[in-house]
Amino acid sequence: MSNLHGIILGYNGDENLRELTEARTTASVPFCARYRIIDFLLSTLVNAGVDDIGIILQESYQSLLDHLGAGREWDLSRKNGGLKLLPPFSTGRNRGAGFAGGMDALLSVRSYIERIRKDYVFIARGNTIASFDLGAVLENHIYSGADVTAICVHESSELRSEIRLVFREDGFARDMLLGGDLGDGLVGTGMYIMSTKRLLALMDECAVSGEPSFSRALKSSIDRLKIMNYIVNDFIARPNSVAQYYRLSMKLLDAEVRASLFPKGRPVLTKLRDEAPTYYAPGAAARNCLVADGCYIEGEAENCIIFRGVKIAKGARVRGCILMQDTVVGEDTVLDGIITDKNVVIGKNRTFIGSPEYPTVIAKGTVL
Amino acid sequence: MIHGKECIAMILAGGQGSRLYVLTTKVAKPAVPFGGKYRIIDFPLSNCANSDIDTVGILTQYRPQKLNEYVGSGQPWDLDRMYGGVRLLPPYMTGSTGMWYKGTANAIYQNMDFIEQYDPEYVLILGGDHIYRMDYSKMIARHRDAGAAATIAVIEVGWDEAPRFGIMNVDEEDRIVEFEEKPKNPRSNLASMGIYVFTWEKLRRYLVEDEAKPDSSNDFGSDVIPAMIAAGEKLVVHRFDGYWKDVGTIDSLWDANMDMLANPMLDVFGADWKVYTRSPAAPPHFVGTEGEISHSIVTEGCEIYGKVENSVLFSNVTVGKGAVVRYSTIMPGAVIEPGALVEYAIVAEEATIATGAHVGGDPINTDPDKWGIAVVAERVRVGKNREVAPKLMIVRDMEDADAEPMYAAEEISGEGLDE
Repeated sequence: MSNLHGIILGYNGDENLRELTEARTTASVPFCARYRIIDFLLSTLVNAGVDDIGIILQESYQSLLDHLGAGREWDLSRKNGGLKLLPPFSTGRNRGAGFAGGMDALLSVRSYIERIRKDYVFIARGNTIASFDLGAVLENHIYSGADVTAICVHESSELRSEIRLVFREDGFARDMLLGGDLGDGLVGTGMYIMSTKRLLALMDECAVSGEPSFSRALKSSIDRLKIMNYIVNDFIARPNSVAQYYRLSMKLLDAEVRASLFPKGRPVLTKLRDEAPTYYAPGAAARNCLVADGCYIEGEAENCIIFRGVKIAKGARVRGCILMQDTVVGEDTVLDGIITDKNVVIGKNRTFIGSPEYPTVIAKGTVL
Repeated sequence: MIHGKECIAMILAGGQGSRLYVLTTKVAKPAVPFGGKYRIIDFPLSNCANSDIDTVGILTQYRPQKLNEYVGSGQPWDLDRMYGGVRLLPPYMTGSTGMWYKGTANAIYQNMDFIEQYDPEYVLILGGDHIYRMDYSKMIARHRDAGAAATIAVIEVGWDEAPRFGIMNVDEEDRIVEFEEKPKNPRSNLASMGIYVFTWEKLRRYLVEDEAKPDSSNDFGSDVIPAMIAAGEKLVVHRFDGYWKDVGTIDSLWDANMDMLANPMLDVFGADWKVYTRSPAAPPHFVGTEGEISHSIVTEGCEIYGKVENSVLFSNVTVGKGAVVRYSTIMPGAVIEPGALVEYAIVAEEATIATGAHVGGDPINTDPDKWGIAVVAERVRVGKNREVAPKLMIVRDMEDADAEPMYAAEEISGEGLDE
C-alpha cells in the first residue's frame, strides 16, 4: 500500500475536442480501442499501489460517472478510501461557474483534502494520457527532500504543454514559464507530488490571495519552495484538439508506443463489457489495425483504431479511421480519415473522406 | 431480504477430465480454456446468471486451485451476492472421518447442509463439461408445471450416436419410463444432458437412501435416477434443441472450438445472452501490416503479424511474421514464432512454437489412421525446425534442430497418455 493519495482534476480545461466532448469530459473520451483517457492515469496510480483517489468534477460528468461506477474495475471499491468522486458542491465561492484554475478546484473540495490520511498527494489533470512508474517518482521525491516534485518530459515528447520549468545547478527550479513565450527548460506535465501538509499550506495562501491557478501559485512560491523535477520518458500526452487526438491515436499503431503504454506488469484497467472475441469473416482483411473485442469484420480495414462492438460489413473499406464503440459501417461503404463516435450507423454504399489535419467527426448516435 | 431460495444450482466440477490428457494435468476440466476468451465453466455459470439463479455451489475435488482462483468472488458472473452467490465446495473432514466425493450423488449428499441453509424448493444439478446456452428457468417451469420429482434435460441425438449416451425412454407425455445407460439397441434418441432439476424434498430422501446402500456407486445416472423410476416417482424430460457439446476429449474440444466460428451455431455474439468470463486486463489486439486473418476469432492482447485462418486465438497470443496458423486453437499467452506452421492443433497456455517448426498436419496429406489433432502442452517449447506429427502430444520441451526437420514421432509418441 502506498503512502500516496491521488487527486485528479477531472473537469475540462481549455482543450477543444469539438463533437467528442459535446456530452462528456475529455477524461472520458474513448481512446485506444477499449479505454477512456482517464483509465491510463487511474491505472498508473493503482499500479503504484495507490488506493485512495479523489476525482474533482465540474460539468458534463455523467459519462465519467457511468464509466467509473464504484471503481471496482480498478480495484478501488474499498471499505476505507478507494475511489471518491467529488462533484461540484455549490456552496463555495464559485456557485454555478466553472473553476478558474486547479487551485480553485482544490479549494472547492478543501474539507475532503483535510481528511486525506496519506502523507503525500499526487495531482494531475484528468485529460492526461500517461502510463509510468509512479512508485519510483514518489520514492525519488521522499529521497530528494524536495517540497514539490514536478513530473516533466523532454521537449521531444508528445505532450503539448504551456508549462516550462527552468532548473538551477543544484537541481531545484529557478523559474516557471507559463503560456505565451516559452523559453528553454523542461516541459511540465502538470503532474506533481508534494506532502499533504504542503498542499494544505499552499491552498491556505491562495485562499487569502485569491490565486485560482495551481501553476501560478507554484511559480510565485518558487523562491520559498524546493521544486525538483522527475523526468518521465514514457508516453505522456494530452489531446487538445481533434487533429491531435487523431494523431495520438494513430501513434498507437507503433509497437514502441504500445510497449510504453502497456508495459509488462502494469496493466491498464477499464470498465468491462463482456464482449465475445472479435470475428473475422472469410475475405475480411485488417492491416495495421488495433482492434478491441466484440467486433464483426467482413470488410477491409487499414490503419484503423477499432473499438468494441464495431461491425464492418462486406465490401466496406475503412482507412485511417477511428471507429468508436458499436459503430456500424454498411456494405460497400468507403471511409477515410473519419472519426465515428459511439453508436454511429453508416448505411450501404456511402463515401466519407476526411483529412488528418482536420479529421471529420461523426457525432455520437448519428445515423447516415 | 427474502429468506430462502426457490432454486439453487450445484455444479459438479470435481472430475479430472482425464481424456483431455495433458490439458488437465494441472487444472480441473471446467477450468480448461475454451472459445477464445472463456473457460468451460463460464457456460453453466453464465447460464445461471442469465436464468436468474443467484446461488450456485461448485463441487470441486481434482486440482481445484486454478478453479478457485478463477471463480473467486463470482463477480464476473454477477454472483457476488449478500445472501447466496457462488460457493466452492471441496470435500471435507467430519470429526475423525470424512472422505472424497465417491460419486456425483455422494458429492451432493455430502453438501446437504449447504443446500438446506437456503431452504430451496428445487435443486438444479449441472455438469462442468458442456458448452451450451440454456435458460434454466424454462426447465424449472416445466418441472413445476408437471409436478415432477425430477426433470431431466434431453437432446435428440442421431440414432447412430445414441449408444454413446444415457438414453431416456419416455411415454407420450414425455414422462420417463426407463433410463438406459449406453444402450446397444436404443429405443429412443433422447440423450440425457446431465442436467437435472429435483424437488429438493424428494432428492434429499433418495440421497439418504442411496447412501445407505453399501453396493451403490452413488451416481445420479446409474443409481439415484433408476431408484426414483423404480419407486414410481414422476420423472419428466425437458427437451432442448439448441447447441450442446461435450468437450471431454481432445477431438471434441477442438471440434467445439471450431464450432465457435460457425456463427450462429453458438451465438455468443448475441447481445441478449452474454457469456460472462473473468477477463485478463489486456490491450486491444493488433494486426500488423502483413497480418492476415480469415474466418477466425481473435481476442485482446493478441499480436498478429502472420496468417491466421479457421482458428480460435485466446488472449495474448503472438503470431510472428510469416507464421501460419490454420484450423487450430491457440490458448492464452502462446507464442507462434516467425515462420512456424501450426495446423489442426491445440497449443496450450504459454507454449512456444519456435521458428521453422511444424506442428500438426492436414488430414488430406495424412494417412487417416495416423491423423489426429496434435497437442502441445502448457509452457512447452517446440524447438526450431522441429516437426510434430498429427495426433502427437508434446509434454516436454523439444530442443532446436538444424534446418532439416527431425521427425520426433517415435520418441514423443504416447507421452502423457498414461494416467
